[in-house]
Amino acid sequence: METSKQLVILQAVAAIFALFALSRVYLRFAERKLSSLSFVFWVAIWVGGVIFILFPDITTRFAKLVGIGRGVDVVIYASIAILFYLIFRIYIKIEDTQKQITEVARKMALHENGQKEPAKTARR
Amino acid sequence: MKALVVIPAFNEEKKIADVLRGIPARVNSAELDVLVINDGSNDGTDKVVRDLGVKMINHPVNRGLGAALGTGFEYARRQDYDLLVTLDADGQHDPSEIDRLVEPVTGGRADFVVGTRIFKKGMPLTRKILTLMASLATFSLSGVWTTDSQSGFRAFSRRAIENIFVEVDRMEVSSDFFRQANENNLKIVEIEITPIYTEYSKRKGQNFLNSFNIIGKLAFRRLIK
Repeated sequence: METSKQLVILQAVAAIFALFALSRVYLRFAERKLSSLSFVFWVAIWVGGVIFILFPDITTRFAKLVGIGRGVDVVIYASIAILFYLIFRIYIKIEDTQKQITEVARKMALHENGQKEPAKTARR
Repeated sequence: MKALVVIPAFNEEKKIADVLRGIPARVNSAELDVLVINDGSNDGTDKVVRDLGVKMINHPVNRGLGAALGTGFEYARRQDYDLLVTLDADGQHDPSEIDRLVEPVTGGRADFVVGTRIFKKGMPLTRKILTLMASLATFSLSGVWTTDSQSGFRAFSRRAIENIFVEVDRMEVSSDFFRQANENNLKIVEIEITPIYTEYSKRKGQNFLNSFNIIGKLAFRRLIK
């Protein structure tokens, strides 16, 4: 009985956190700081989280479906995959940002030097 | 023929004056213009260069070797240069060898000349191993075999200037030149040069750790493109 009570508390805390995260996602979207696609992605993540927290049996059923023993394992595997994907995206974003900083530094350097934009445009 | 020597410099106040003074006023039939790309140095590099009356472009912040060379290429394109020479600011290249280096370009036999350092006596063993590793990495990523892919002593033809757009910011630019040269069907020629290894240039050079970093970065770029 004791363990099931603990589980309920844990579920409540986790669900509240997920709902809080969901509210942040919505606010970011309302502020137009999140694209529609990102909004859908994050809502799916956190709504999925809430469902899994409140109805853990679903994960077990899903686990059996894909041939993994326990529901918890499915959630962990999925989480790792999602984390890797997000890190990859951040890496790409940083690369892009670095490229833009170089572009700005170059423009400033050449501009300071009195260099005009070339008549024929650069390849990219 | 308009010729430009580009020298990327980051904190090179100790050596750059000697390098600049050693550059000949002209090679073959071309007068040599000199341009220092001061890559956000925070020592007295800019003052040394200015005092010598050499043309200089300043990156507001440090962006790395590749970024500095990219700015040099952009400048050469805008100013309509026919020949571009790159030279390290740390004094490891002998500027009097520029005429030998550019000869294949002025003779119409090459678009991209690399001054290779290997086979010469006095190259430290660790540097030899590193050079070989870099060559292997460059080959696997660009399909071009070179004895010294990381050499900073290079000459480019007008065709090369117009076709090479540097997209990488740091040391990986050296290998990337080969990839772009290969993709644009540029003629590559290697010329042996005499490197000057001092304690200073050794310290400034690449080490094992960042050579792995370079390989990783280039491989990753290839993967995601």
